[in-house]
Amino acid sequence: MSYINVIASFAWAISGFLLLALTIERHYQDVYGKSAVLDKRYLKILYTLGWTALLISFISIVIYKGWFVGPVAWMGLLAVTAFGLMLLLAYKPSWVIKAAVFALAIAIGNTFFSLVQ
Amino acid sequence: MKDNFHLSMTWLHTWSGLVVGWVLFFIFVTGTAGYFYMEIDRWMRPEQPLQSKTVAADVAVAMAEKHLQSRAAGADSWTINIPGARETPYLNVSWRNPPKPGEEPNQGRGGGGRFGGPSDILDTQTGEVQPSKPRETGGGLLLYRMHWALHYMPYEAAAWIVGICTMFMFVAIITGVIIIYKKIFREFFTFRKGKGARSWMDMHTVISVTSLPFFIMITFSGLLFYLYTYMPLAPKILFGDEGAQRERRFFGDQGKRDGNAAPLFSLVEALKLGEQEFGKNQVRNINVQFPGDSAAIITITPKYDRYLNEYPQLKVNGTTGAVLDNPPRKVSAVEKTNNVILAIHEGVFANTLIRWLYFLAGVLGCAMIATGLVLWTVKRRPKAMKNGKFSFGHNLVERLNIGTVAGLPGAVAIYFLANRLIPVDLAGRREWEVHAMFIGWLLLLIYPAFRSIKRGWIEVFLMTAALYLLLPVVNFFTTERHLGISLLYGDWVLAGIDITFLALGCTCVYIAMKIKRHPSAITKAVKTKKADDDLTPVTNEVLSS
Repeated sequence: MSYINVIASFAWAISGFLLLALTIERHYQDVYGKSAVLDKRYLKILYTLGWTALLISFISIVIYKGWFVGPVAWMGLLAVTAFGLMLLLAYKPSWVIKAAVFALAIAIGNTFFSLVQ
Repeated sequence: MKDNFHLSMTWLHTWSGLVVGWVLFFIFVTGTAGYFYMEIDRWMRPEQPLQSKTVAADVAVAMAEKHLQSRAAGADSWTINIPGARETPYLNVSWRNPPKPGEEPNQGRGGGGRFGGPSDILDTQTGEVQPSKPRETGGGLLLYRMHWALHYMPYEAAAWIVGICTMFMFVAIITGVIIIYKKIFREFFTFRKGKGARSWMDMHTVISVTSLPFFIMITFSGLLFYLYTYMPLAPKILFGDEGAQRERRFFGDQGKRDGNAAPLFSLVEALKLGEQEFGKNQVRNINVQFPGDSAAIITITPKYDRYLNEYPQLKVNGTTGAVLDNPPRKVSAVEKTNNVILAIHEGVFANTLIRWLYFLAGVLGCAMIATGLVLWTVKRRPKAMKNGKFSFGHNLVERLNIGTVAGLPGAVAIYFLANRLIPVDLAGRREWEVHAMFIGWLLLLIYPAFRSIKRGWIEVFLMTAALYLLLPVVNFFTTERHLGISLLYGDWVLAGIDITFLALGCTCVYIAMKIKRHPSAITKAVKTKKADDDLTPVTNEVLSS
């Protein structure tokens, strides 16, 4: 089912962006409090996971739309996602972790489904 | 030196953006609406039937073939649009009659319909012809056309104006990237709210950065569209000077009649051949050249949404059904690149989902320009307050901003309202729809001059909101295509447009409320200045009603 790939791509993009946002000190402190400091070891892990999630997001949409249209659609999808997450980080930082977990669950679930089919 | 460089880049960014900002906003608003021009076309022609009910492709083709056999037996060509794709909301059949003696043969142009020939919309349940005599209107296409040809001026002049503005935008994008490239990743999501100019700056940056690929693509490809206008000799060298020759290049050579009658190969069978080639339910239309002649050729075209720019076609012998050799036209790498870039700009291939992404990216583009324009004024207000006076230039920018950012969307709403309210049989109503839009915009541009800045913003946004919220209501009282009908029937294209109007109206109300409730940076500045009770004339200018 093709639309599963689109949802997966969206969810992976959200997860990836949120993980990457946590590597930025300002947003980490938005989420965990003013004095929180991110451990250097986790920084690397978050960074790798974030970029991997974005990569999977790209692959998902290319599988759905093909090599020609896929990357174009992905650009649009990233723009809209990033803009939405910027609003989330500014207005509801307490939701960030929930949103990330939720998005990851949907991403993994949908990818699993599309692989099974 | 480095600081100097940064400063000059900032200066260039500010002024290249400001001087053409209002025209760019117009281009972006009409262009964003243009991604849905076919849908808006349908909304603006409420006499047309609702979307065809879904039907198996072979049933539709059989119906259409029967209708064409009885209605257009002697025609030079037939075209059947199979409902289901974006461009084919109806089971639409069109045909082109042979040229009258002495008439120039209309080389290659497929069916009728789009090119002014006869056409019928068939009911997919009964096969009957559905009544459709649309009102005279420019529709979504005319609105979309303003995106590149503006209005009230010759095409060439508009092309130069739009091109120069696009060039300025390109400069603004490049300098913008230079200004912030160090912070792109660190401040990717940064938006500090409630901090006056700082917040505007953040918002402007975030929108620009997150949609940067889209903006670069759209600006660069926008310039390419005018390639032949700016370099008029190139097409003459490439395609020769003759109009017919150029036309043949675009529409292909379609052959000649043989003169011997021969029964036409079954179109349902031809459809099956097409589905073998392109996949089930992937055929968009079927064209027949010279039906009933032994030289007949059937051309089958797939849906657009999987191809960036080269649409494959299957050609079948019109009497035997043998698949014809149809080598793809030879395209140079340069032309191919050009075609792909233009196709990405227009989003021809976009299905519903990607089309909405394009639309949202377009809205973000409008927001980028709007925040940039507002930022210019917000940054300069404190200084002006210190001087106790707004310069004429500053006042002008403030007012143009209100009339454009808040007013232009309202003018577009007036265009749609005019479509419903101008009597259907009024002569020249097509032009009057456009006049209404521009007269409305003019009034919304003049109005803020008589109001304080804050009141101006609130009131014009409220007017725009009222116009959009009125649209579905007026639609309800003037047509049979309102939400009550489209939702029940499941015509999501028409319903979607009305719902989008409502959403736009609500957004404008929200913005107006936000401006009203939010103490502007100026009031804050005044308070912290431990000012005396009487406000400076400038603060009055901004705040008083």
